[in-house]
Amino acid sequence: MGNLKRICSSPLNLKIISFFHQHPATVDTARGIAVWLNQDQDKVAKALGFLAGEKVVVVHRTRVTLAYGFTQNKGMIKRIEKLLEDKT
Amino acid sequence: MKKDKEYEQQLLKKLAEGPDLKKVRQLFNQLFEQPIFWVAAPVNKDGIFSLSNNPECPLVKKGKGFLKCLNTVLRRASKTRSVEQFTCQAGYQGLCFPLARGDALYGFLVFCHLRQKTSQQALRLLKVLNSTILEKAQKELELSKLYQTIRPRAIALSTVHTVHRLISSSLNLDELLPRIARLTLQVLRAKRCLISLVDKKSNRLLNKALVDLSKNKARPRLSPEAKRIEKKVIRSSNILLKKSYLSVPLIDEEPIGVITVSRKMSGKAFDNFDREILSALSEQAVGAIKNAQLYTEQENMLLGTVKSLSSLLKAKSAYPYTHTPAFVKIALGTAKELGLSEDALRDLRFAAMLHDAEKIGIPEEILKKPTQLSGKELKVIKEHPQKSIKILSPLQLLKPAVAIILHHHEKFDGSGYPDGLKGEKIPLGARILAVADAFEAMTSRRPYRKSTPTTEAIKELKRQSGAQFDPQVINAFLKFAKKQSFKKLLRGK
Repeated sequence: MGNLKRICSSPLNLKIISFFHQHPATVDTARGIAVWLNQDQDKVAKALGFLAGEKVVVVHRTRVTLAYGFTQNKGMIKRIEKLLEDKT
Repeated sequence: MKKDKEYEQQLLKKLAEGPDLKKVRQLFNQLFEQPIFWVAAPVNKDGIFSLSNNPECPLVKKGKGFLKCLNTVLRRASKTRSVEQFTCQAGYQGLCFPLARGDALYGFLVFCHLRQKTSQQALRLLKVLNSTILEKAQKELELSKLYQTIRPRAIALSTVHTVHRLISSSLNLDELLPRIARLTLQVLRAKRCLISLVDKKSNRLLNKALVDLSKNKARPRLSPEAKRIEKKVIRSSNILLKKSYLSVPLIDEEPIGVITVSRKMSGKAFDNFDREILSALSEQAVGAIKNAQLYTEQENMLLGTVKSLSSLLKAKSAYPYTHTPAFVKIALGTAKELGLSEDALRDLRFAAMLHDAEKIGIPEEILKKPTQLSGKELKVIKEHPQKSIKILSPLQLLKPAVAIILHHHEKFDGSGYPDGLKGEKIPLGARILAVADAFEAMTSRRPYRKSTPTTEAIKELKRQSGAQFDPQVINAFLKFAKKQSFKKLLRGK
């Protein structure tokens, strides 16, 4: 949870996590997610790369396409839910 | 009816909390010395209620008489749908603006505690102002509702598009099917996905991909129940939706397979929404699977053609020493160390299989000559590849392979033939083939000489690194040579 709190201390990370939590069935590119969040694409791409390393998002990669989805780890999802509840 | 009431309340809330009404209130404050301000819902049998503020008017709080007075005004305004001026029991002036458009009455704006009567001109102006504010609030509310309705659908549509991009870029079934399974689990938020395809020869369903995200699993295994479900779906060509699983047939012109998901992450039952999603995904999957199957068929046909061509060339060639099967594998092993793409590997494979084509038409006495070639004979050898390679040139798909065959006698320092190309101007495949060719030639026995031991051959390759051979390719070859697979190849030579 501590680690997740640290991750969510970045407003952009928090926005991305909240977006995926709200739309867990989403699979989209950094560009797509940047559009939904009305954020800078490069910054979103960087944040998604970081969140993928932290296993908060799942990467779907082909030679030409890089897309992201929400974690499928139940424990992680519960921790995220708790954290988002606390934030609101 | 319930929806209308909900809409009215939302509109009034938006109006009461929006910035425009605040501006109107500021305007009133300036014009009428801080009047009391209300936003009220239409009158009903329970009386009025304010959405924007608690009754600020101290007189209303004091006695029911004032509230009754206000109710009377609101009833009147709801009938006339026009601005009503009133005087309360305490003698203060008030204004009541009905918020109405067409037949609908959404509520009222009420200003009381005014010290003086309002002129008709000012009333007309205020009426237009309030009407504009109402119209704006309505439009904003509709826009917000539209946004709330469209946004999730747009996000879902974007997901469908992204999934399409992810699965349509792969023509390799072994890579494609697990990818479809993983994406299905991602979108349906489930833990287990099984994809089976109908085998054309046996007409049986064969399990092709099984992805299980459950914890503490050993190797995912296929249960007899899963097989039974699949059979049922493929026979009926109908979707099977149960609480614990969802199975959808993959249908082209006829059923080509089945995709089944089970174990929702939420623990809830699969529903019709999941059914719609999986149906959409399966349609995309069918397109991608058919493409990959056609591509595989085409590749197999091409490989068959190349194999036949290779046998034909060997039979027609006067050169008695054909390469071992290990030769192709050595070239490919080196190429993989260099990280070549699948397409480049395929071209190299074809080039390695066909590179004896260059020897077609070279006089037998030159090819079989056990002693050193004369200058004239060498000239024949050097000029020949460009002539003989014409046999393969009409096959467009073999164009990259032909370039590799043509240039594999080039040397890294530019002293090779047929074009004397230097360094990276020599196609990479040709540089790889040159190393594999030299290694194979050295380590093979000929009637006029013994085979060179592997260690010696490798030393010679290293010695020629940067002169005859590309140092990068030599390094890749050396890496490959350390692997067990390389040693196994040599044992089988």
